[in-house]
Amino acid sequence: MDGSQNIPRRELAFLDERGGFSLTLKRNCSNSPAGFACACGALAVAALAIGTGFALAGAWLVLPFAGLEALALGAAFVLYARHAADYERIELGAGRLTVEVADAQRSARYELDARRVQVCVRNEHGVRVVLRGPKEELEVGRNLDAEARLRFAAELDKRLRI
Amino acid sequence: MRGTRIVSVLAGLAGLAASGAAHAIAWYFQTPVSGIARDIDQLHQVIMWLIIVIFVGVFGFMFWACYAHRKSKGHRAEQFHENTTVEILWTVIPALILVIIAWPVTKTVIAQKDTAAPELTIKVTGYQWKWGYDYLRGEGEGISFVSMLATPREQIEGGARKGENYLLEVDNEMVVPVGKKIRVIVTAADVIHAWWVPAFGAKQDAIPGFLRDTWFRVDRPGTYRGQCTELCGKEHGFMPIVVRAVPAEDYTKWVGERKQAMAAVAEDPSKTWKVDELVARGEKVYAANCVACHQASGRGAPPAFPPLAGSKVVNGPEPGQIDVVLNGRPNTAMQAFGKQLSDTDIAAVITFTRKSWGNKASEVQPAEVKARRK
Amino acid sequence: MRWITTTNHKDIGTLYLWFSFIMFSVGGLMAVGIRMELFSPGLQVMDPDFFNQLTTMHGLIMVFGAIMPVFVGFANWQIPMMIGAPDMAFARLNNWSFWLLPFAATLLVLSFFMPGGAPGVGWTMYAPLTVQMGIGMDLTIFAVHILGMSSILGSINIITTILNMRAPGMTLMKMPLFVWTWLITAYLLVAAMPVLAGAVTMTLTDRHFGTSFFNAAGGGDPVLYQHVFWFFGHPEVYIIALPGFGVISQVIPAFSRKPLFGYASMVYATSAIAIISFIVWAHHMYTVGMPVTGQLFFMYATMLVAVPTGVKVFNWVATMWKGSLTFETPMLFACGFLFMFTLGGFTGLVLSLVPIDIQVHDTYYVVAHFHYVMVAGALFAAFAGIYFWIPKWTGHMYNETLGKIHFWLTLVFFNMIFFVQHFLGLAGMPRRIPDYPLMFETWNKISSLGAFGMGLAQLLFLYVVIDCIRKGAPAPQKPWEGADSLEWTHLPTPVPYHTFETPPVVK
Repeated sequence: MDGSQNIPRRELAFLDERGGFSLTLKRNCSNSPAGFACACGALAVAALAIGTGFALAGAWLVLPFAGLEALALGAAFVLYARHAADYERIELGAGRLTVEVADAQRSARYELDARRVQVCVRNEHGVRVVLRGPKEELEVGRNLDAEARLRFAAELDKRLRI
Repeated sequence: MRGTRIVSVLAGLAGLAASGAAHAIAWYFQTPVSGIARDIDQLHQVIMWLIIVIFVGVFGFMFWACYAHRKSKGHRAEQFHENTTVEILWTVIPALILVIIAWPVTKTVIAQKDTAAPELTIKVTGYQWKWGYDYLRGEGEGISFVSMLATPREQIEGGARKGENYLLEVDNEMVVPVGKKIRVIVTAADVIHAWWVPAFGAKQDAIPGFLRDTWFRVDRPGTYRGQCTELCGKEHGFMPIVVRAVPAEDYTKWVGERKQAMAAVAEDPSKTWKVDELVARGEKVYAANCVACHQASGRGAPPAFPPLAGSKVVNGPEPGQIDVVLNGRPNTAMQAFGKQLSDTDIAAVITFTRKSWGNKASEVQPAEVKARRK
Repeated sequence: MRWITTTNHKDIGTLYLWFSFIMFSVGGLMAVGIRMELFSPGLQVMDPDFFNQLTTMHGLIMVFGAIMPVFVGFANWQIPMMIGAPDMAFARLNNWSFWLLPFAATLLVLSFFMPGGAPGVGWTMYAPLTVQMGIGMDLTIFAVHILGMSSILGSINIITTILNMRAPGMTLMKMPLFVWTWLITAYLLVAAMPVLAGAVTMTLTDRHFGTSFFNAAGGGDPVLYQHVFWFFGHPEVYIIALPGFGVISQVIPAFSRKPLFGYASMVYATSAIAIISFIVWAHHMYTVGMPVTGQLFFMYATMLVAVPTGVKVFNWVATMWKGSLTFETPMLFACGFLFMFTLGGFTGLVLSLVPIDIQVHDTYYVVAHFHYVMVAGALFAAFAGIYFWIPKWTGHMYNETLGKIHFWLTLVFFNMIFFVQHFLGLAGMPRRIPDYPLMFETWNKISSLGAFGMGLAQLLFLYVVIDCIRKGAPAPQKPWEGADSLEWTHLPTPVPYHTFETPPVVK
């Protein structure tokens, strides 16, 4: 592993490692959830403070609107932050294909036998890439857009056949 | 008159200034006749020159660049994009200029706000759409009248030639003595208006339910005209302010005449009038107070201004209509005329409406109006 | 159907731009109506009530329907392209934000056909005059609510996009200034819009539900409305102006072939303007009778605005200085902006001074001032931006000669309308009056003639745009030699439907 996960990137960089490879797929995110929370929070606080000021001056009907807006800001933050830290890490080493998926705070780890995994591209609700093993099916490449997904599937397929 | 003394501040445009003619092109402040108005004029001139100098300086650079640094002249772009010294200078120098401006302006602001120790206090009330004047304290105390646009409707609608003071003439002018400090307490009865006499540099919003004040001291006799400057509904453009400033002795004379006239007008509300007399008098009252909304035809302009012809209130029982005229209708342009008109005038105008445009209801006598007053 | 359900930032940007042009035409027609009535003293064309309705709707439509949406249109098109993002952060929300607007516009126009007509209270909707209005007032209040909602949703979207979706290497201090000004504008919108919503809601409850927020008889205060309104209203002025500053900051360096002078100080100055805008609101209210300390505070704070605004103007001029200038239409509009916006800024300085403001408050001087800021400021910036980016958007070049003619006509007629209004205001003509004393006739005639000309000149603009879309010559990837932001350097012309599938890396 190098610092590649720290740089948010969506281009495909297969990092060779002990004969296999490690690939981390993340959304492009130029801000951390904490940074964005500060930005939204500061705005909500400002709006509520203004609303409170007017309430003290007798115009209390500003406050409910400031409240609604704070909710909207909160919703924007949640929607964004839930998936801000999503990533998929696909590693190949010693015949095992390890897939680590973090999606909206949950993370799961799957191990597959690299020789028995097929890379399938399906065209339902847009392009989807699925790893099909003997027992399980696993969707990957969800943080990529359609075009990059296709390139990713092709590249992955090639690597698995080496 | 207003065009006779034109101060040309905006240099280079002086050629446009005409003077002498009665309606020369007005393009600068009216001749100031109070200390505050003169201060405002001077401040404005100083600021304008300052602005012109800065403007010419900054855009001298821009136009020089436009002229000399063109690609078509083969000028090659230099790639500098910052210079801390210059940037600090052009932040600090404007700030200093502002501080220098702020000093004299602050003095004028404080002077403008100083309404203490007046020699005459007049309360001005804005109504839709006329001004009420009550002389509260000082010589003339107790004088009270309403001042309305005197320009005939025909002039406004184009039926007649417009007079010299078109839209700037009233039936009752506010009269003040020259050289005395006059405090004006401004308020309103319905919506916000603004009382403004440009030559005095005095403008104050008239806010319903609140008293605000301003002051002026006129140093030259004359008639000074202004207009309402806060949008107050349909006839906002038709409620001018006219102030006649007269020497002290003339003012004393005016006060005497006014008081006599008020005593003469104070009619006995118990007198019983003939219907014809009431209708004749009511027609005049209607033309002065009601016609803007309810129209000469009595048809109004629904829904904001309901018709009187065929109206249920007008054709209904007398107390109902008397109450509406006396107390007004809240949240509409129908104001409480009880404070503005005498019992006789109210009885007359009600009778007029009840006998006109096909309405056939009974007349109303002043005593009935008096009885309904609270 | 594509246009109704689209979530593509470019489609939505286009929708915003056309919407604002339609509203600009509607508001412009109203202005022509106003100027027709004011062509001569006396009442000729309309009754005073309808005149008041026109001034009210002209203001509301131009501010909320034309100028704000045109810059949101720019934001939608340009922000993702300039920061290297594939689209806006919340694409479906973006669609909703736009489609709220036609509903609001319909309500506004519909109010004319209600009994009693549209409200005749001025765009500031001062209490308690609002209480006397008919049902049209309620429609207007709802329309303002919807417009506000649209703005808030749009702003949250823009903030999220700019903060989170910048391409690798696109740090905040490398963002094009247009993006910066929009980030700050979006912050202002989010802070100010609930206040407007509150103000109009309290107007509504005062009208129908017996509250007395602004009714002295019930213990309220009509002036409180003004405080609430202008607390929103003054930031609103900068909401309108700042994106325009951003456009100008892209155009001037491009045609000077030289980097923007003082990038960092531009960012700081813009932020300073935004912050100061929240402490100057009562300079719209010098005549309500504030205590002297209040007047002085708001006067000093207002004068302070001149410092960062001055910095911006100096920076723009310094950018042109020793550049290699060419004067295509966008640059002409930018120079026009610079010259006349500064003029409007200077009259703003005059108006900041309490004694002078008291003399010219609510006169045509104020009308002239804010039209210099909003028309010569925001509108000229919008024209500059449209001519600048239209090759990128449509893939075609516009007709340069006609564009230049459009500029010169607009410039001349604009000044004909509004320069003379300074004289009217100084001489004492109140605003919002349908009829006026005879001494104001000459300037009013000139002003009206200018208005008719300005209206006609915009038909030429429409022709130029349509001509560009339908048969303009193909545009190269970078038609402007000095342009250097991502949309020119990294994207082909016309731009692909999906921008930046893969984010570019900014060094």
